[in-house]
Amino acid sequence: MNSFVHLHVHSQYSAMRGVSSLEELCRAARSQGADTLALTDTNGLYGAVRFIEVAGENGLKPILGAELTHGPHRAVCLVKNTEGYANLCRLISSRHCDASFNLIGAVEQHRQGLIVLSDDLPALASWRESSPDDLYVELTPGPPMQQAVAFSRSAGLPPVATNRVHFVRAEEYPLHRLLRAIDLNTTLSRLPEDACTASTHWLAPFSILQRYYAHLPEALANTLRIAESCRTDWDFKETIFPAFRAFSDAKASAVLKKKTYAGARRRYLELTPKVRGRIERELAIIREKGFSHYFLIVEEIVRRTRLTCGRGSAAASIVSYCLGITDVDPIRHNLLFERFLSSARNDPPDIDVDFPWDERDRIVESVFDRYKTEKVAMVANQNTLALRGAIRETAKVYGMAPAEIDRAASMILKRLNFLRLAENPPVRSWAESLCELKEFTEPWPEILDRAFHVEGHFRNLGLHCGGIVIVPDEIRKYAPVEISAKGIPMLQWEKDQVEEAGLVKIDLLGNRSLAVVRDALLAVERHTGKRVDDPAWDPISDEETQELIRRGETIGCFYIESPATRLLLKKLWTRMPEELRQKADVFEYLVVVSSLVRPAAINFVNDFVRRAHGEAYAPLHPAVQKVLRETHGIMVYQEDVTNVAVALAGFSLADGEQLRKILSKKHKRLQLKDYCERFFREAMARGVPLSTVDAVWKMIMSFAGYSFCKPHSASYAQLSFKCAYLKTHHQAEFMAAVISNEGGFYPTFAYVSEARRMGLKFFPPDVNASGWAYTATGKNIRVGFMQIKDLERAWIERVVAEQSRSGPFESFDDFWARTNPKLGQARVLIKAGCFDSIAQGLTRPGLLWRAYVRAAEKYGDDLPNPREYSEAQKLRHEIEILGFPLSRHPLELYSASLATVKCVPARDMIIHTGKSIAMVGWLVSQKMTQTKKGDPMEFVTFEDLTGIYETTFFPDTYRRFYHILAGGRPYLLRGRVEEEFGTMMLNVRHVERLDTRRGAVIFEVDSIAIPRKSSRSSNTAASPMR
Amino acid sequence: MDRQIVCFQIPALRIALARLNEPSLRGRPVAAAPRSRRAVLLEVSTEASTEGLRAGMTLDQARFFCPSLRIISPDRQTVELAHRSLQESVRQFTPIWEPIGPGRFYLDLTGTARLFGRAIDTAARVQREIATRCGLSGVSAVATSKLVSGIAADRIIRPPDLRDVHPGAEKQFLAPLPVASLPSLNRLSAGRTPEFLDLLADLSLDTLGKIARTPLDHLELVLGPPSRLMQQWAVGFDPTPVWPQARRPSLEFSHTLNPDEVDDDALLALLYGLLERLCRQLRRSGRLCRSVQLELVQSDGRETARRAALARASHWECEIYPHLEKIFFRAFQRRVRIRKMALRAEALEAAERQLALFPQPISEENSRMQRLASALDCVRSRYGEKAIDWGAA
Repeated sequence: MNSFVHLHVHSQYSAMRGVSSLEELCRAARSQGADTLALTDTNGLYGAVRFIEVAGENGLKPILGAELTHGPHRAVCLVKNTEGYANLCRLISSRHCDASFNLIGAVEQHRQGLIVLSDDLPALASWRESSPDDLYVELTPGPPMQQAVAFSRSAGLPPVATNRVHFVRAEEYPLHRLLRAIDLNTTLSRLPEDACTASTHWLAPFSILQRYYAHLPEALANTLRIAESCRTDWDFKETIFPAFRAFSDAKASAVLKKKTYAGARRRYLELTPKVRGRIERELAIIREKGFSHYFLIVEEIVRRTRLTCGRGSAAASIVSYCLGITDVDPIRHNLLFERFLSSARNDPPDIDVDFPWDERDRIVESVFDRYKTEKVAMVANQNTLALRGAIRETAKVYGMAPAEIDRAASMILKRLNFLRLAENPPVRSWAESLCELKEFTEPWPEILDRAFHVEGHFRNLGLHCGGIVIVPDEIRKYAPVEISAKGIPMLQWEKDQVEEAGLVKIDLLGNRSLAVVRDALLAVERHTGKRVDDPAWDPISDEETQELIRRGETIGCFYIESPATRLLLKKLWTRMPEELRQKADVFEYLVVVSSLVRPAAINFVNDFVRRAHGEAYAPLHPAVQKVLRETHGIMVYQEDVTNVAVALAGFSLADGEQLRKILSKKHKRLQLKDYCERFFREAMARGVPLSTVDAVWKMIMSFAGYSFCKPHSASYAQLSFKCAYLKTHHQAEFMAAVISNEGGFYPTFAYVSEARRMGLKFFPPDVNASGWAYTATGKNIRVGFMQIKDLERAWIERVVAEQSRSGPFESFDDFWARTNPKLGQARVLIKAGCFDSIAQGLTRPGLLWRAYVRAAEKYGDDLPNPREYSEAQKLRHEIEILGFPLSRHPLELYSASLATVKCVPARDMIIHTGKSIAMVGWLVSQKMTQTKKGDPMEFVTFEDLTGIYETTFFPDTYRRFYHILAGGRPYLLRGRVEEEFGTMMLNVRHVERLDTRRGAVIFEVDSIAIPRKSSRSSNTAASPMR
Repeated sequence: MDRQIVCFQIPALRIALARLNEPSLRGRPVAAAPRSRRAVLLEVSTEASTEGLRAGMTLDQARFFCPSLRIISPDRQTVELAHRSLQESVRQFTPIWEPIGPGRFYLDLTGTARLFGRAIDTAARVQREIATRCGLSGVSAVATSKLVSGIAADRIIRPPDLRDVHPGAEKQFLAPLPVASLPSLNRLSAGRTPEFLDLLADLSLDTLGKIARTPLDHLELVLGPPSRLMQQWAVGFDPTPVWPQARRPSLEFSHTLNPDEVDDDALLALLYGLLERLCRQLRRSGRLCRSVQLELVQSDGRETARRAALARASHWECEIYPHLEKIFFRAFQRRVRIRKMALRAEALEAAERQLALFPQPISEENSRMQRLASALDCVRSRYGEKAIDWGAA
C-alpha cells in the first residue's frame, strides 16, 4: 500500500546535477512499491516525453513537473492538467528567454493547472496573497525544515514532504559532486557548499522518510493527495501541423493542386495518364491526412534558392517533385509513394531539404521572419558527456595535466577495442586492469571508474543541424523553448522527443556539395556564357559521366568519394560480364551503392558484387525472394526491413514501419528487444528455420543507426551524378569549387593532388589575380586567399573590390596606399608570394622590410632589399601559410632518404599482384572497421607522386602500428599486393614513418606535417580555477 | 687593457657525473630526466644529440626517436656537491668568478697574466685541475666579454676543447652565428623570443653578421629601442662585469608528492608540515625571517612562485601561516595537480636576545600556539620527527 509519492525528483536531465537515469529512477521507485513518480528536472522538461515512456514500461504513473529556480527564488511546479502543462512550458520558456523574467510574478501569472511546492518563504507569501489553492510548503529533512514548518503553520498553507531526489542511492553522492565540479570548472575541494545538494537527497524509501515526519503525518499524506490530483495518463498522439498563411484546409488543398499541376507541366512537358493518376492519388492522400499546409510551407521555403536537394522519403513523391522540393522523378526511378505517406500510417511525414551550406542560415532566418518566434523554433541536440569528454572532464576535476589527459584519453579510447574482458566486469576492476595494462598510476583507475559513471549525462542543449518546427498558434504551449548560443529559439527536446510529442519538423540542412555544384555551374556560365543546368540537363544519361563513375574516379563527387565507395564502384564495374554491363543501369546501381556502403553492411558488399556479376544465389527464404529481387537478395534500403518483416514474420505494414523507425532511434533497446522476440516467434511459427530467422535478423540489425530509404538514395545519387558530370566536363571549375567549399571527405591537399593527377595546374595566390575562393581558367587553378591563414574574409573582399573598381595594383606601395593592411595581413600575403608579380625588383624579405616600416608609421630611405629567401624557406612558408606545400609534393622532400629503398610507384602496383613490395605513401584518410570476430582493423588510403592507392591493415598489423598512423604524414609501407574484383590493395605487414628515418628530416618533424583539417577549439568558461 | 673573461662549463653535468660512476654509459646516447613517464629531458649527451634528441623533449618522444637511449635520473645532491667542488677549483685562479648554473662559471682573469700566464693557458690549467680533481671534462672559451666567451663555450661540441676569441676578432667570430645564439634574447624581445626570431627571419636578419652590417637607423625602424643593444651584442660588445657571488642566506624545505595532489586540504596540511620544519630550524638557529616564498611545481612542470612579506620578523607558525595560506591560493590557480612544494624563509635576521621594554601585542591564541610549538619542538627533538603529529578535529 502506498503511503508516499516522491514529488520532487531530478534525473540525469537536470543538467550536471541529477545523477540517475530515468530507467534507474523508475526501476528503483517501482521496487520500493511506488505506483506514481514525479519528474521535476531543473528549469526544464528535457526528458518529459522519455519519462512517460519509461514510467509506463515500469508500471508507474508519471507526473510531469519541473523545479524552477531563478536568483534566490525557487518553486517545484507539478502539472495537474493540459492547461497546467501549457503554463509550465510557458513558465520554463520565459525563464530561459525573457531577460525580465521574475519567478514570483511569472508563477503568479501562470499558476492555473499547476500545483506549486516551495520553501521559498517570500515567494509563498506572495502567491498565497492571490490564492492559497494548490500551494504547498515543501518540507525536506534538514536544518531549514523547522522554519518551513513554522511558516506552514502560521500561514495556514499545507505542508508536503519531499526528499529533493538527485540520485537513487546515497552512495552516488560523490558522482553528484563530480558533476557539479565539472559544471563549475573546479576541483572537488574547491566546490562551494551551496553548489551541491545534500548527501541525504536520494530516493529514500517510505520506511526511512517516515522517521523524519513522525510529527507531521499530513506532510506525507499530502503527497498522495497531490499525486491523485495530477494528470498521469499522458500521451502525445495528436499531430500538430503548421498552417500556411492562415489558409483553410480546403483552400490549402486547392492551392497545392494548382501548384502541383503547374510544376508537372514544367517537369514532364506532357501529362500522361500515368503522371496524372499518380498526382491525383498522392493529392488525395495528402488532402485526407491534412498535409497540404505542410507541402505548401516547404515549397515556399525551397523557392528561396536556386539549388536544393529534397531528400529522405519525400523523394518518392511526385507532388514533391512537381513542387521542386525534390529532384528525382519517382516514376522514372520506380519510387513508391507509400514509403513516404499512406492512409495506413499515422506518423507525420518528414521532408528533409538540403541547401547550399552557405545559404542555410539565411533560409532559416527567412522562416523565422515569416512565422515569427511565436510559432517557430528549432529542434535541439541534447548534448551529453561522451566517453572521451567524461574522461577528460573527470581528469580535469582531479587536476591531471592537460598533456597527460590528452595522452591517456587517446590511449584508453584506442585500447578499448583491444580489450578482451569477461562478461560485464565491474567497472572499477575493469578500470584498474586497463590502467595496469597501460601503466597509468593513481588516480587514473578512480578517474576512469567515475568517468564511466558520468558518461552519457545530459550536459547542455545545442542546436540541431536543421530541424525546425512550425505550429499554427503558440510554440511555447507545446514545449519549452530556450535560446541557443547563436540567439535562435530552440525546443528543449531532441528530434526523437519532438516527433514523439507529435510536432512536425522540417529539416533544413546545409550541404557543401550543393554549393560545389552551384559554384562550378556559375564559373562555367561565366567562362562560356552557357547555362549548363537548363531544363534539358540530364547528367544521368551522359555516357562519359557514367564511365567516370564506373571507374570509381569520384574523388570530390558528393557521397561517392570515400575510399570504400570508390572501391565498391570499381569492384562492381571492372569485372562485370559484358552482357550484364550492357544492360546494367549506372544510376540504379549507384542508388544501391549509396545505401550499401554503411558500417554494418560491409559484410554483404562482396556478396552483392558477386551476384551483380551474375553469380547464382539462393534467397534467404522463398518468402523474401520477391521483396529483395532488385537488390540481389541483399537488404539494402530501410524499406527492405519493413517488407521483410511483413513477408517473413507476417508483421502488419504499420508494425514493420515501426520496427524500421525504432532501428534508427537512440533510445530503442527495450522496444527492439520486444520486436526481436516477436520477429523470431512469428517467423518460426510460419515455419521459417531458426538459422534463417537468425541470419535475417542480423541483416536487419545492420540497419541500426545508419541507413537510407531508396528515395533518399536516389535523391543523393542524382546529386552525385551532377558532381560527376561537372568533374568529367568542367574539371578545373569543379575542382576549384570542391576545394573552395571545403568540408569534403579528404583534406584540401588530397583534392589538390587529385586535381594535379587530372592534369590541372595550380598557381600561387596573387593580389591581382586571386579572389577569396579558388578560381579556374582552362586547365589552371589559382589558389584563393581563403587558403592563406589568418586572413579575414571581409577585408579580402574589400581588397578584391578595390582591385576591380580602380584597376590592378601596380606595386606594393600602391597596394598599401589603397588597402591600408594591418602588418599581419601584409606579412602573410608577402610570404605567400602574392606580390611577386608586382614586386618591381624587391625580394620577399625586401617587401617585408617595407611592410614593417610602414606598419610602424615610420619612413626610411634606401631600405635594405636582402637576398631572396632560399627554396627551403619558401617551402616552409607555403606549409606554414597555406597549410600544405604548393610548389611540390611533400614526398619529394624525402627523395634523398628513399634513394636506398626500392619502392614501387602506385601506378605500377598492378604488375606486382601477389608480390611483396615496398611503397611510399602520404596518408590521405583512414577508416577503422572490425573483422567478423570483432577485431579492429583499418582501411587506409595513401598517395604517392603517381597515384592514390588503398591499403588494408589487418588486426595483427593494425595492433602493432596503429599508434604511428596519422593523417598528413609520409610512410614507408611493406606488404603484399592483393587483387579482388579487379581492384588492387596493399595488405600491409610493416610500416615505418619516413619523417623520423635517419637522414630523412629536412625540416623539423613538426613543421613538415601538414596540419589536420579540423582544429579543436577550447571551451573555457570563467571559473574559480583555470 | 683588454679584459680576459673565461667561460668554463661541464657540458651535461648530470650525465658526466653519472658516467663517472657507471662507465657503461660512456659512448652511448644518454639523457637525464626525472623518474616519471611524464618527464621531459633535462640534459642530453653528445651521442643522444646526434640522434636528434634535445633537452625539453618528452621521454616518450625521446624513446621513439632513439630506442637505445639510457635514462639517468638527476641527483640534486650529487650535482650540488660537484658544483661546490668545481667552485673550489676555479677560485684558486681568480677572486672574481660568477657561477651561472650547475657546472658553469665565468672567470675574470684580467690582470692575472703575470701570475698565471696567458688567459687561455690558465683556462687549460682550470680544465686540467678539474679533470684531475673531479674526473670531469670541461670546455672553456676566452674572450673580452662574458657574452662572447659564453657563446664561444656553447659552440664547443666536445670537451676538453678550448677556444680563444682574440680581442678584435669578436665581430668576425659572431658574424656567421644565428641570432638565436645570443643568450639574453629574452631581454631584447621583452619575453617574446619566438615572435622576435620570426620577425628577424622575415627580414632576413637571421645571423649576427647581418645584424651588425645593417645600418642602425634602419634597424631602429623595425626593431625599435633594442636595436642599439642588439647591434652592440652582434659585434661582441658587452661591458657587463663578472659579478662575484654574493651570499644571501635563506632556508628552504621542500616536499615532493607522490602521487601528485590537487586537494587543498591535503596540500595545506603538507604545507603546514613544511612550515613547522622551517620554523623549528629557525628557532633552533635563533633566527627570524622577514619574508617567505612558496614555490609550487605542477604536474606539467609549470612552476609558480609567490612571496609574502611579514609585518614583523618571526619564526612562529601561527604568525607566518596566515600569510602562507594566502600566497598558496594565489599561486595555485590552475586546475593541475601539485608535484612539489618548496618553502623558503628569506631576509633572515638574528632573533632578539634582549627582551622588549614594553609588552609586545600578542593575542592569547598566538601565545598559546607558540607555547604549543615550543612543546612540539621538545617532543620531536627528543623522540624524533614523527613522534607526534596533528590529528583531524
